[in-house]
Amino acid sequence: MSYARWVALLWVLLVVAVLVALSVGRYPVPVSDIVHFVLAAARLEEMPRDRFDLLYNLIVQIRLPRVLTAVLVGGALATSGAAYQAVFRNPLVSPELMGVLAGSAFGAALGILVSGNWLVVQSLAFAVGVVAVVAGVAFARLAGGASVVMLVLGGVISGTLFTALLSVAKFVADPYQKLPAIEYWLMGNLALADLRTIGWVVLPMGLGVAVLAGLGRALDALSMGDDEARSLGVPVTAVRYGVIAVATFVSAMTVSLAGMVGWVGLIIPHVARLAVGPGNLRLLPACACMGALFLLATDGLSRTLFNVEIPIGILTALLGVPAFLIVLHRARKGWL
Amino acid sequence: MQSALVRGLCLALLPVVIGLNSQAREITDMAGRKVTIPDRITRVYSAQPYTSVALYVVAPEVVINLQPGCFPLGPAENRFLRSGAKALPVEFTQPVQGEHNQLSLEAILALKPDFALAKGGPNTDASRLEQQFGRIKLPVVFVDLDGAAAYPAGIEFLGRLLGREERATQLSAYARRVLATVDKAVADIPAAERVRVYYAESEDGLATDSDRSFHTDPIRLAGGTIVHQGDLKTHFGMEKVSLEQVLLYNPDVIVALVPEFTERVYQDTRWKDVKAVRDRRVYTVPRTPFSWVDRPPSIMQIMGIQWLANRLYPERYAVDMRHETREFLRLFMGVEATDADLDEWLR
Repeated sequence: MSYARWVALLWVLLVVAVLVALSVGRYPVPVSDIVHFVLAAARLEEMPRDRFDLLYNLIVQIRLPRVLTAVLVGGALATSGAAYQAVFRNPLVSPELMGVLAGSAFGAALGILVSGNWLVVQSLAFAVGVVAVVAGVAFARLAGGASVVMLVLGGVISGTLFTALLSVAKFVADPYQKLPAIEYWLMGNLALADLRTIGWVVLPMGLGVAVLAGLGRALDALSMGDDEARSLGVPVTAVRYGVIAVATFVSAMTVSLAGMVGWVGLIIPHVARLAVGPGNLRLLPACACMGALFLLATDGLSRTLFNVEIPIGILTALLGVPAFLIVLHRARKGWL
Repeated sequence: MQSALVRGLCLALLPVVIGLNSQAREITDMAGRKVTIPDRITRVYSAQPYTSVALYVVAPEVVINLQPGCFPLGPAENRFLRSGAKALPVEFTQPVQGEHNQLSLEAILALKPDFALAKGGPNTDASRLEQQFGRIKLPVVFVDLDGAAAYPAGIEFLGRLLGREERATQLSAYARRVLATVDKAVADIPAAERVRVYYAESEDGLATDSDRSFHTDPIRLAGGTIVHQGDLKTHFGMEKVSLEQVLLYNPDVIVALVPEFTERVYQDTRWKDVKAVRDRRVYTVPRTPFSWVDRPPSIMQIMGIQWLANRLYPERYAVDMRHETREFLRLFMGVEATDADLDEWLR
């Protein structure tokens, strides 16, 4: 299938998935009601006031924030994952590599410990996530240099440090209120964000994803090796730090929005590579679409399967593993 | 160097020597085990939050620790603790939830307890705790505190164990009377007329427990029907549900554990279609000095069940709650509540 067809297909699928996601949930709302609701909202049709209010509450206030969160988080994580894999020239890399998720998790836990206020929790999750990556890069520079190996080591050290700090936070947390809140945060939850929060992050996140997607050509050059990239006129160090900075920025925001959602950043780039090939110029936008689709689908299952919600982090792992195995099997001759 | 070694050895042997010298007796605990404990008991270590509260109620003098589940003991709660209890050490536990806390054995030994008190009935597997406390040669006594119906007998057992029979009889008589009165008031309500209750345990209100969970026990005893149904998935509970599910349940009443949730829920437009919110029937469980209903479930439930019955069925269970609250706190906690306190809890 040609690239143009893939792009068209992905966009159509995304729009369909958003519409489907808005119309499914535990509260049964027939599709006909949704059509009537849309018509009534556009003042083309009359609808009883209380019915309209209920549908507005369900579709706009409860489902829409979740759907938007899924699209934003899935797209951002998959794109940063692909960018990371290109920068580090390693297919097993995900946004977690430089310690951003470990840092954000500790930040969130700290926020839950010192205050119950979600704004504090979200801000700390974002801030500490960024701090963790800065620490990782600093460790790498202390050890001398911005080479891939040093950066990976710096990220491992930083990730370990913040994972240990997270354990300390869990250790001292009150086991009846604070500890469960931390645990749920760590399992990921797309229902945390409301429309206002999404309004704040949609622009910076969208911009971050767009910047990453725009760096496709430079990333392609980078994947050939530092020297080759330099000879092509690509500022290697600047691109590498730039990508790490932007990917960190959007990944930390996903944690602020939805807690820890694993796997998307690792597997979606591989699935996308299978579809549109390894060229980053095409791969990154495809990742954004596919990541959003994947998280929309898993969240749809999470909130409809049972009368309790399955934490999204568990489902992404459960669905991700078989998907990953299939991709690995079919892609052995390619990237790996 | 050598003298230090000798001193160390002496210190290590000290508990053994003391153990040999003091008078001992054998008792049968509520798990049906024979346990040898000192004749005169002055210091008891609580292995769980449930036992902390029970011990504190029956014999505050022998309490040497409060389990973390009794948090938060802020200034408001501290006013309702007998003086002396405020300075108690609070054992930190490993970040493992529920009953599977790891205990810091050295810290427990340093408290010099006569024995450890744990929750358990005839079906309890005692081996885990026995093994744990066995490493510091500390006997474990099990007391059955499983659910409100077990409290009167549990209190009486503690009374006999600790030589506080008279106080225990007084407390258990009160507990029996409350359980019987509430049961009489709500027993004949037909299933269709029972108030349907959603139990909101977290700050976002979306963690709950089902009708088969012991966490919702007090609500059922007070005649409520739990809207969230299903098998117990974990002992710890707090299952996550979606807001849509709550809308679907459409409960008559929400019983909330976290005050921040109650403060927010009336402003949150997403919750406005839930019947309980529309009717302004969201009630926050008082937590003074310990939670009245759950987290941890404790003897405070004797107060909590009355409070719930009165909230769910104000006409059927029309007792003077101010009077009952005063009496309960006086009897069980040995403290006096002011009018302002009562206003806050019973508003």
